[in-house]
Amino acid sequence: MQVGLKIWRSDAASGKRELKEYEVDASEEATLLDVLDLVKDRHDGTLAYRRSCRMMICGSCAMRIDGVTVLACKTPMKKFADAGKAPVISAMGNMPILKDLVVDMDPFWSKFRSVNPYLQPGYTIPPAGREHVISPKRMAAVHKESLCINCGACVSECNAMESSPDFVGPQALAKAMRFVGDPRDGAKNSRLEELNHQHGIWECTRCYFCNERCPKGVDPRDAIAKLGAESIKEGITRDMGAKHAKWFVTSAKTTGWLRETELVPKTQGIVESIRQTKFALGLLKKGKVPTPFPPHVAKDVRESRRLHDLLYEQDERGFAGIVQGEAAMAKLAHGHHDDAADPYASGSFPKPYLPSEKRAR
Amino acid sequence: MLDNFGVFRREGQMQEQVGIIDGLLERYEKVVVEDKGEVFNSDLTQALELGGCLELAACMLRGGIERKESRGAHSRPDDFPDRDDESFLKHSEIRWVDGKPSHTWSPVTITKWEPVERSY
Repeated sequence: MQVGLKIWRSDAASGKRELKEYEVDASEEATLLDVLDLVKDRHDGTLAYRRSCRMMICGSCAMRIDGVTVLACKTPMKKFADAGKAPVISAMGNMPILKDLVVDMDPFWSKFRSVNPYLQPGYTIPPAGREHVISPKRMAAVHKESLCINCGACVSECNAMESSPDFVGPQALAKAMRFVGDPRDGAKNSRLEELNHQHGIWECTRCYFCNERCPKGVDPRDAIAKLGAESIKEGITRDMGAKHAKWFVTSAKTTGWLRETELVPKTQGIVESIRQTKFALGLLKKGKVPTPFPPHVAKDVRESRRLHDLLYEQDERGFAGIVQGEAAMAKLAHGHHDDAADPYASGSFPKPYLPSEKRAR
Repeated sequence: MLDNFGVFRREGQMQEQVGIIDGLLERYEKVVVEDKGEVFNSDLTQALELGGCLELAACMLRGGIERKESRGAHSRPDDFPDRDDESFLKHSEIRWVDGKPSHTWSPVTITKWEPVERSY
């Protein structure tokens, strides 16, 4: 098949950029990487891109196709050829371009190293000469995070990092979660302390682009949520982000609704709230926020309170609760269990019940 | 190399492949590197790798032709189907001398595990 593509070339010395068009004859099953290899072999040997394994293992060939970061080796070109479209290929975002499709990964790796991505000796050290035996079920908690191949696709798409380049970023945080959730690791709390700095977990804007673009299903945003939940469980709540999240819980527990007027003092403190009084009154005047008194209480508020208590009773707070939720969702999505239709079936989180109902056993 | 020098090796194919590699090594003398830049010059690294691959292929072929027996992933079903510890329980050592591979043998040091023929 004939495949056309436009590549943003970038000169290493001058930094001058130019969109160049190529057309090659490739096999039907050719991927973007195969096509780039053909361009380099047959048309222009000066084209630069990273590549190694060609099978989604090494994480070298992340780049953008029509603005979407993908692994070139995972992207079939047939649909573009069939549609007669020549997609635009460009380098990843959020990292300086060195040449053509190659970016400088140094900032990426320094953030990666900053989370100490290796196991710290744990609370239980096996006797000399013995292995550290952990059940597969306990390790399954960090299964998704362990899949990361450090390709940088999530960092390329990160909106928070675009506005704040010092943000640790989705890849490093997913890697951090891989060790925070590891039952053998003994440095959980000091890791969480370190991740609660100004450019840590709470700087994420929750746009979910990293989840969307990750070629390996790591779901970095979910990992960041797990780190946040675990920080709050361990009482590391000095960051505004943590206070903000905590207030959502308190508010939902007490009235069933979010009491927005109280969100600012609870998150940013009294002084800042007084500074923002004029702004708040403006919002109130335009009907953008409800009046604080009397508080708006949800009709079935007892249900919301009961859910909250249930989480505490079962100690499913922190990342464990999110992991359990994921397992239940996966059961529903893949349906390979006998009880696939019921996420609350045996061995799972008990079904929440209303105060009027009989307690499920 | 995939066609002529896989696991099952035949004298004729190996000799034919030696000719192919020699021809490619000759062509390689005139290899052109389009990219003249100093940053991420993968054109240059690929050209260097190609040269390395060709020399390695020549060395492998030499070792394969010298080893007139079948052993592990080196199988010569037509002319030498059996393992021959008496003549070939030794290492092939190949050095690049005067633009071509030169072959010598060196003894195997046997420690804990006695080598035995696989008979399963």
